[in-house]
Amino acid sequence: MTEGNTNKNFLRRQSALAHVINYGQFGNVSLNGPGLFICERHPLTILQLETAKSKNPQTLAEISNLLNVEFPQTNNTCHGDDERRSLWLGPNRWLIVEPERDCLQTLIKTKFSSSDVFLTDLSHGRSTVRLKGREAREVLMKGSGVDWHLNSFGTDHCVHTKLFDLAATVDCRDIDVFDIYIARGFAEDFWDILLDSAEEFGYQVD
Amino acid sequence: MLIINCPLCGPRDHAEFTYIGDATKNRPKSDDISNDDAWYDYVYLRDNPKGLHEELWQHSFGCRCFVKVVRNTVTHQIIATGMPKEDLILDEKGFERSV
Ligand SMILES: [Zn+2]
Repeated sequence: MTEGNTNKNFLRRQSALAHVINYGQFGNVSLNGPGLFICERHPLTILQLETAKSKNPQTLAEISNLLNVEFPQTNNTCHGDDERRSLWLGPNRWLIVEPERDCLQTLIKTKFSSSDVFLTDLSHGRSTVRLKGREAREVLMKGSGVDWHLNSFGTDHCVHTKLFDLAATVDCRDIDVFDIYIARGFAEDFWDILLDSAEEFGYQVD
Repeated sequence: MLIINCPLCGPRDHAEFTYIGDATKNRPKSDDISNDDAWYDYVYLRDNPKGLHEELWQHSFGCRCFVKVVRNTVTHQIIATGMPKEDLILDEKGFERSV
């Protein structure tokens, strides 16, 4: 799935998964169709934002206005849509994700002094996989001991956890839609484990 | 598998945590190195209790915060968790977080 800027003047970001992705249906696909739909979201701007504790509410409100996105104050929750999304990562720490367009970092940096807000561009360092379908939670269950039940992990919840022994952020976009952010260097390994786990349910790579 | 209840993230596998050490040791207030005994105790001396032990774990695969944990060293039961500055108090009902 290609997202974001396709402008030729823009230095095109390379996907870490492009050369391992085979499109089509694989595994034990039943008459009901594949249990899972898997695709890569690319290219995305992924920015980690931390604020100085003393200036936290004020700075956050201003950035929130600038970007038109709310920063969740509740642990393990997210806000926003596919266009721009913010995820709670830890105290005073958030992840901002959007399809790559402008340089978000520059946009924020020009308005705020560096002692108020700390930004780390992770766009080059993360790969994003979208997992969708009726068996998506089953596959997540294989990878981590987090309670993936709908009652505790519903829409607009996120967790930063160890998934298949890799550090991963999982964002619940909808009841059975999940975005998984992993370190780019492990993306290929993660992709292999994910497909192995999905095989018994049948999956489609889009 | 141990489940540690991170005060920020909720119940997680202990595999997401890194063991830091004894939580009962406090850094001596004085930087005076002539006060050898206090520093020797802080840096080197550790009890090895059979039973309840207050210890620090870091949620390194999650929020990356330090978590205070009361664990039974005999059964490995995790009895209480809280933030490092919280006192985990034992009363008739068991452990409670004091805030
Ligand atoms: Zn945590």
